[in-house]
Amino acid sequence: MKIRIEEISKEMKEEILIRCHEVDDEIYEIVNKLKTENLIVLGYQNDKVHRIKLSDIYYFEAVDGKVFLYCKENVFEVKQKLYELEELLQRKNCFRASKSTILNIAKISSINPSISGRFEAILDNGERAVVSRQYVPVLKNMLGI
Amino acid sequence: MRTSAFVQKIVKDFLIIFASIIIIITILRQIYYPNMAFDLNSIYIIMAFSFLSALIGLILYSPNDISEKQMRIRITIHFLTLEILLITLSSIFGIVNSVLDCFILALQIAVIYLLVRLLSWQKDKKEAQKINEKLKAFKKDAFE
Repeated sequence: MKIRIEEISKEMKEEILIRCHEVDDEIYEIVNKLKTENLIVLGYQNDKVHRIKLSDIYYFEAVDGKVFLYCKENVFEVKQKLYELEELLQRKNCFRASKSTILNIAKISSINPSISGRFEAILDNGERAVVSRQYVPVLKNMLGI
Repeated sequence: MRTSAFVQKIVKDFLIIFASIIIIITILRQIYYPNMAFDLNSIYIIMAFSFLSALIGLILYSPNDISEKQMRIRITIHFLTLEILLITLSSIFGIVNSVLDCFILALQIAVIYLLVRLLSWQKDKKEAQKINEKLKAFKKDAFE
């Protein structure tokens, strides 16, 4: 895909225009990346610190007292507690989905009910995460239902 | 769900179960045995079993997140416990007197349990559909 950047005068409004043959998943992904405010979360992996954009994060999970963030292929440790992240990401399209997870709404492909009375979120990378009944109203509220 | 919220839910369930049984029995008595009086002992037994029925909801409670498989195992245990509890209650009241009666009652409980699960699942499916439509719109909104 050809990328063109055009400088405009200060009087004109800035905009990003995507010209494509078909609006497919790839285009959605690009737009989601542009749309999500570039909040940076520090992720630790093998004694190295990585700056990870929120738009690249699928979900956060607390396991055995540690919190991890999951990207498409990589997993990083996060130093914040889950409730701190919940507070930080409240207005960034992320929501608490269960006692141990925070999901990025922009990365949810669909939601399905499970026979056990809970809901299951299928993420864009094919991973599945449980959404507890008590947190479904939070998701609905964020989506304006 | 927090422990306090879960205790509240159990108390609420107990009151709903107890009230439902009393309302249904009152209506049935009015239709079939209008002159029969309520025995105080029966009320206490119904109250105790309503409480136990609500209390077995604890089987489904976990302070930590549990997997789908674990949840399904808990639902099976909950269902079996409920079967035992209700058949015991029926035996005390003399509603079931033979093995065949027990079997029929167990079958009825199973059908009702399944129906409730199925109806709940259908409701959740509609809710999920609404959420999915909004999720789709949420992704599309990014273009506007």
